[in-house]
Amino acid sequence: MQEILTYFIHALAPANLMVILLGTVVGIIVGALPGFTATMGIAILIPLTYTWDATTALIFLGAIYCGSMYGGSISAILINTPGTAAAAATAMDGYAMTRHGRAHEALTEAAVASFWGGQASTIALLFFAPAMAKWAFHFGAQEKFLMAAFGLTIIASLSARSILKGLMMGCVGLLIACIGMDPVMGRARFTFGSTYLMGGITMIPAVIGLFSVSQVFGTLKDSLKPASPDEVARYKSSRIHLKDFFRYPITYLRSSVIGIIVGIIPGTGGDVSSYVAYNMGKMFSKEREQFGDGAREGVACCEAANNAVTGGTLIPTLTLGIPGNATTAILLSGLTIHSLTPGYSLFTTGKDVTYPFIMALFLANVAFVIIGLLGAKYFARVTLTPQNILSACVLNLSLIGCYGVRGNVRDVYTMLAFGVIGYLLKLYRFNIVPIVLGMILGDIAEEALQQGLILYENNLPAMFSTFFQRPICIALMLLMAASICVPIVMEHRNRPRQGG
Amino acid sequence: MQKKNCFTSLICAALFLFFLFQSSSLSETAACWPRMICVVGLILSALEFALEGIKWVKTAGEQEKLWPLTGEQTKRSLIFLGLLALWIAGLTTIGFLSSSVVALSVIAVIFEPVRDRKHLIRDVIVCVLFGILFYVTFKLLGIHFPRALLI
Repeated sequence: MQEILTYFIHALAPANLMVILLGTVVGIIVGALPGFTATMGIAILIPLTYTWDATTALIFLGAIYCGSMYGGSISAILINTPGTAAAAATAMDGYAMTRHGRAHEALTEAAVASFWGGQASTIALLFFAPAMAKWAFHFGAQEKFLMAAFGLTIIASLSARSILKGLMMGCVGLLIACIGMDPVMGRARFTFGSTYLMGGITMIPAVIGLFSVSQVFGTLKDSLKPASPDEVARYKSSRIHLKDFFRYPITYLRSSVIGIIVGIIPGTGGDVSSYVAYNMGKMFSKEREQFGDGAREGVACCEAANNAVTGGTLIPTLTLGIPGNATTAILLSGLTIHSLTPGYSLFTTGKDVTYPFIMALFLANVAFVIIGLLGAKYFARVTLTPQNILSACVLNLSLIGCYGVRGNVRDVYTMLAFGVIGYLLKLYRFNIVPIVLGMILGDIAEEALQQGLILYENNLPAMFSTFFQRPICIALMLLMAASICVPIVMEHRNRPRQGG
Repeated sequence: MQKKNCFTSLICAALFLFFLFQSSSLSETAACWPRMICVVGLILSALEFALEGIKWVKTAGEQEKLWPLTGEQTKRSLIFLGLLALWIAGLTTIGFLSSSVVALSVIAVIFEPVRDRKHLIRDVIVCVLFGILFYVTFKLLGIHFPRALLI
């Protein structure tokens, strides 16, 4: 406990506080901008942290993540345009409240519920993550291999419109991760004679290309419309009262628990948790008739749940190296840039970085309540930024970000190539998240596979047969089968209803 | 959509086949993992092709065009791609700051929805300011930009 307090004091250092405030403001802006996600925000701002120490860098990225989850609700409530997918459910009741002249109430509730959700998930992260990391420390090559495969199947099957398309993209990501030097013999693999490719495809340019550049392509392909400031101009902020923090304690708790659980499952995200919590809230609420027509509790359900996802997604990311969603996948690359490896070591040798980071999340959750409520009107105005200028600025940051990784212009060309690929994939309704996860999990899976092959003298069937002798492997295989089969069954069950 | 899905699954299958063929020139240990991925990828592509193909035959209705963009959207996308390629080429020839400021302004002006003098001047001023701001910020943070003809 005393150790935790020490790390909390570390997080309170002036430099860290500054970084938390900066990250929160940036996060809220990124979250409030429709079409610009936390993933993009973190990807293009990672370069800012290259020269920072690992703790400060992680705190900054964590604050962006927390801020963006809350920021999405501002534009959802004020202009019915969710800044993030997770805030889409918030718009149902939030915007209805704005139409009834209760915008301040909705924004206050969003901030308060986000605060409780965020704090609950940070507590879960603080207590569950070390235990999970310790448990995972005893994993053998087989468990590690299946864990990576499980992460990929669940993400591909849950996040894509089509399971097969998602899995195919996961395989593409795994193949991209194979480019470079082979990990056993150290010989060039799929480099096609290029010395640049010998180092492999660098994660940051690929991610910035897939998320940011492809998004800008998508924005600029259509004629842009000038923004209308009417809705935002109507909003006037006022004070928040202490009783606002304790209005729906059961709702906050229930939605937070849903958010944490959903967050821990790789592939599910804030949007899923919001809808689940919203439906649960509607079931148990005394004001259930008002749900959908401006129920304050409706906003509380969604916001507590989607902010609770932040800590939840960080649990598998920090402990197993399996990102809970696209944003944590980028955070994971931020970790590797600062020479940190996910797993038990983060909670032992790397605890001086990990614990202040977790403590800073508590502070970031406080920061976005204060900053968010004071500046809601101004943050909402961000949505009025002309898209052409915004796109140009995002591109400039993307370019600097890619170049800054290694000071190599070829990384910028890589970004462009991935931008075009990402744009084309989006046009053909592919989900690009499994590609990034494939790129991350590919290394983990191959390393585990090679370790296993060495143990079993290059006998692949012999290694695979041991999967059925190890309880964790059996459990993981069952989970993999369930992650593929459940969405298929659900889709079939929903089909007649949709038809009717 | 089924027609598009069949088309994309064929492209994916070709990609996996290409890498499978490439892996034959690698040592056994280096080829093991990529080969596994390619085989799984090929099976998935074949499944997708078959399932979407059956749906396509069953519906036999009007299918979306293979290329999802209109002529105007394609033109805008290509203009943007060209500008981006020129911008990147300019980074090492005319300089990071100069090329960025020019490219930012050109992109903002070309894609400006309200084409009057006031808006265009605003776009240029904002882009020049942001271009300089980003450059100076990152320079101060220790990122070394490439040397070229200008800054």
